[in-house]
Amino acid sequence: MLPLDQAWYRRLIGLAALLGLVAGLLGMLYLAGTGAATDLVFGDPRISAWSGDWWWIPLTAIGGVAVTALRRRWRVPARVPSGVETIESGRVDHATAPSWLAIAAVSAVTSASLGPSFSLVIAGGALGSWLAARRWIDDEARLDYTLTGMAGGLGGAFTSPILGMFMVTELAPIPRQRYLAALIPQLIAATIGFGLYYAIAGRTFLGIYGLPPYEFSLWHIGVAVILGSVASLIMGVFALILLAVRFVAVLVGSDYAWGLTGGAIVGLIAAVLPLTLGAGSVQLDTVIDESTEISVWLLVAVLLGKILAMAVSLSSGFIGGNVFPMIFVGGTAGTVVTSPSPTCPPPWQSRR
Amino acid sequence: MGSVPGAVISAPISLTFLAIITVGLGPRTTAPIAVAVITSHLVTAAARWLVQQHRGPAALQQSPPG
Repeated sequence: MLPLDQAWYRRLIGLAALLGLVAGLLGMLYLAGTGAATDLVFGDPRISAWSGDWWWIPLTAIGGVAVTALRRRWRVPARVPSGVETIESGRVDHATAPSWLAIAAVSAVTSASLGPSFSLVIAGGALGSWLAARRWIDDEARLDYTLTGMAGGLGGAFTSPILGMFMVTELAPIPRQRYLAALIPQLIAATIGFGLYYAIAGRTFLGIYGLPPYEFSLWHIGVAVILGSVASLIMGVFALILLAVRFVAVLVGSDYAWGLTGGAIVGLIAAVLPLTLGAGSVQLDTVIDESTEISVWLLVAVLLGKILAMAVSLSSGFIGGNVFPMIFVGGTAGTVVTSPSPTCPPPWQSRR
Repeated sequence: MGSVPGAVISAPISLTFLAIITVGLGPRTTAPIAVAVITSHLVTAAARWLVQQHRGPAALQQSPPG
């Protein structure tokens, strides 16, 4: 069942822990570096509308110009695949990955409305791809080494070995008959990546968002179908806004002019609605914790502002992941649904 | 939380699991969360299929990246 007769696979089993360790370390350094920089620049999350600083607008505009200049210098293609698309392809070019990571770091520090998942996938995947390219030209070897590196990076970022591994195996182009063989090194790498993160940071994602107690009833399944449909509608709105923003980008023409304009728009949205800043993980914690203090209209504005900021960030040269911003959009949409009145429990919460 | 990314990311198990661990709820909450994630993905897939039927394969290229 396992291809232990093949030298590359035996070596991968041995190297999986090292891949997880290095990918996890790279991920931690990226998260710690960009997190510290954004904390320093933008400070703690602010709830009220218009509570951002106006100097954020020129800062993000400069960020837009900087990423445009870097993309030109390093000849980055106009279309950079997202982190999810990269996992789906199972391919990372380890030669171009450092330049993409540098641009993603600049994007994160200047607070493009994007997350770290792209960088973690690219860093881990590039490491695995580089290791495979040193000794093996076999397609299966390259795919498994690349995916193992990705799982190591995501295991640390998601602070869960199972989640890091599942995210990769669910999306990656692994043939069914090789599923278990690919799974084992990924689980090893993701576990080591998680262990490293936990040893240094001492915390996990478990229960980071504090919701009220919940008791399941059968009719909640119906509510879930409605909420799932609403989520699809939200992504439809996002797709339409993205199309409109790309149309405007074409009208503007110059990539430098659009980088400047797009960065300024993201900064303006952040200054007006500071909860739209960055990846959204810390901001979602604030939205959930302070949900009774935030008006529904402000939450709706934050929801729409975040969607617009994501679309502008994606189309104006910034590079980053979509997973965490989408989780923020989903969590904020859920908070909108539960917030018509703070005294009225959400429909799926137990009524005692 | 899981169903919005679930609309475009074909990883229902991961997204359900992610939603459950981040809010720290028990295994009984899995069912509605998984149903919401899967519904969102199916509705989006159906909408994309309808758009593709109506406008041709090029329409799929314009969908948002996951």
